[in-house]
Amino acid sequence: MSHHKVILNNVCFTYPDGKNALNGINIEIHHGESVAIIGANGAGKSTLLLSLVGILFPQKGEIRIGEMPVTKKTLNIVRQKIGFTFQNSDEQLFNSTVYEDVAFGPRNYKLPEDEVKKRVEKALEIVGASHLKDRPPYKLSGGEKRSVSIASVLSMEPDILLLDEPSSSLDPKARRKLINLLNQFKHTKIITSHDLDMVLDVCERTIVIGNGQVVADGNTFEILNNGELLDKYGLEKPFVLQGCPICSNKN
Amino acid sequence: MINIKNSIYKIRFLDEISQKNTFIHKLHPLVKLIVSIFYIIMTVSYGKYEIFSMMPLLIYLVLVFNLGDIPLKPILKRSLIVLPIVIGLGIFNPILDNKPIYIFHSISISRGWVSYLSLIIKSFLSVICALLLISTTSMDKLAKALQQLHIPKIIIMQLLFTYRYIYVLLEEFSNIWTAYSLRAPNQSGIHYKLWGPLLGQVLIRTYDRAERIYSAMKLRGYNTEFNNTENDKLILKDYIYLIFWIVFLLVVKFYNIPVLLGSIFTGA
Ligand SMILES: Nc1ncnc2c1ncn2[C@@H]1O[C@H](COP(=O)(O)OP(=O)(O)OP(=O)(O)O)[C@@H](O)[C@H]1O
Ligand SMILES: [Mg+2]
Repeated sequence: MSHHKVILNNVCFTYPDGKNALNGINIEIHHGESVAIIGANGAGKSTLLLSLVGILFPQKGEIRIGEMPVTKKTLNIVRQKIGFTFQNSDEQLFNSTVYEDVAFGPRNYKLPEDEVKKRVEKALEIVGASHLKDRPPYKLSGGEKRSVSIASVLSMEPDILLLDEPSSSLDPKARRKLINLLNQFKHTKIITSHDLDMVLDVCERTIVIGNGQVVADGNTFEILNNGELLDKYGLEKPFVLQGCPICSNKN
Repeated sequence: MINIKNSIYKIRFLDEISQKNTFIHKLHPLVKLIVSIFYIIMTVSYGKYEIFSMMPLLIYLVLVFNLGDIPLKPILKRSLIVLPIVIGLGIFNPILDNKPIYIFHSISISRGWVSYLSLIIKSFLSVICALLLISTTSMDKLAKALQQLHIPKIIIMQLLFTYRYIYVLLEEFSNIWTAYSLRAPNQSGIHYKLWGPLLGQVLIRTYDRAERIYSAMKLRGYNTEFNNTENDKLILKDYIYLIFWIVFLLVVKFYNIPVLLGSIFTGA
């Protein structure tokens, strides 16, 4: 299914206040790849993801998803394939119950109600949030919100997953669940994260962003082992690679 | 700080009880909407000086409260919001309309007072009816019902978004308030010099978040349709409910039941 390629061609984005967040990004991601986008705070990771789903439109350059340029006209088609979660889950959840929120996507695609129900239950089950079904989202804890927001895109059964810092605020068990879930998801996934141990577990490819530019792109293991590079762009080797006698024994 | 978080909880309260699963909640939204509108129309169409003949209208409210398992106090409290308006509206009635009306042999009061009281009762009945509607029917379902009544989409959208963003606005407000009070522990309230900037912040942040939320909706396939809740077909129970209340309201409007009952019991 080569039609789920993601291509960014010299993408530049400037915020209305003049802040240059992306300065000529070139990336090509093939179908089925799992890619981590890492970089310091403010490097432009979230901006990049937001432009992939057409919430922001780059002033220069082109983004193609599955051979289709991301423009205002193609948005509806492009977005059907993508499951996107915001860095801040509060922005993702707006219905009066968790169930309604997870059902929101499937219902918009006019699925019959029993199919919607099946999908919602499955998605909540996967993220381990079935017990939260009837709670109002605004009363959940940060991590619970995170799990629900991931369920709310899984229920749409997307072809591409774009997750902005999915493991932040998850407890270790929930984080492990997330990692397993991501490893089971066989389609394309693009994840931004500061959780480099998770990146190591989930993504075979890593792209380092610094000041709105791609500064490294390659095999995750190699990049995360390159202490000099990581240090330069505000990152650190993940614990398992730090040669710590306790952690590295596990591998 | 606690207070403002509390009031958000309370505002969301209606939203929450609208998710219950009682007989009333399970009725078709369209039916509930029509009955409520009809109830309000009938209520306000009572004569200016009628008070006692309106009493049977209470039966509807009491039944919905009970069957819908709706707590009385929070709803009554919310209905007080209209009190100032109503009091203001009718304040001149007693002065302008001061013909006496005899209620008991020789005791008389001015007709203005009666019409004033009647106005207040009507307003409360209508407001409580509307509050009961939204506490037994979620906003999305109501929107769908409005659509089925061929209300223009643009109006329904306005309604839905307003309803959704009120929470966003309040939450942003409470976040800022909390952040402020944590770092200014010795002040009660916010210093007046900061009202301007803080208010500006609230608006900008709300706007931003509203925009993000809207994006999140679009991302999940939202295309200005209300697919988010399926309203089912009307079933027998719905028709019975609808016809029952319409007949009831017409009967109590055109026959003065309290007087009838009174005359039956006194044998007059
Ligand atoms: N709405 C905005 N308006 C103006 N500038 C913004 C806006 N959002 C982000 N920026 C700026 O754009 C740059 C990139 O921000 P972005 O959110 O993409 O960073 P990030 O890599 O996701 O960081 P983090 O790791 O903290 O999430 C930052 O310098 C930030 O200050
Ligand atoms: Mg970010």
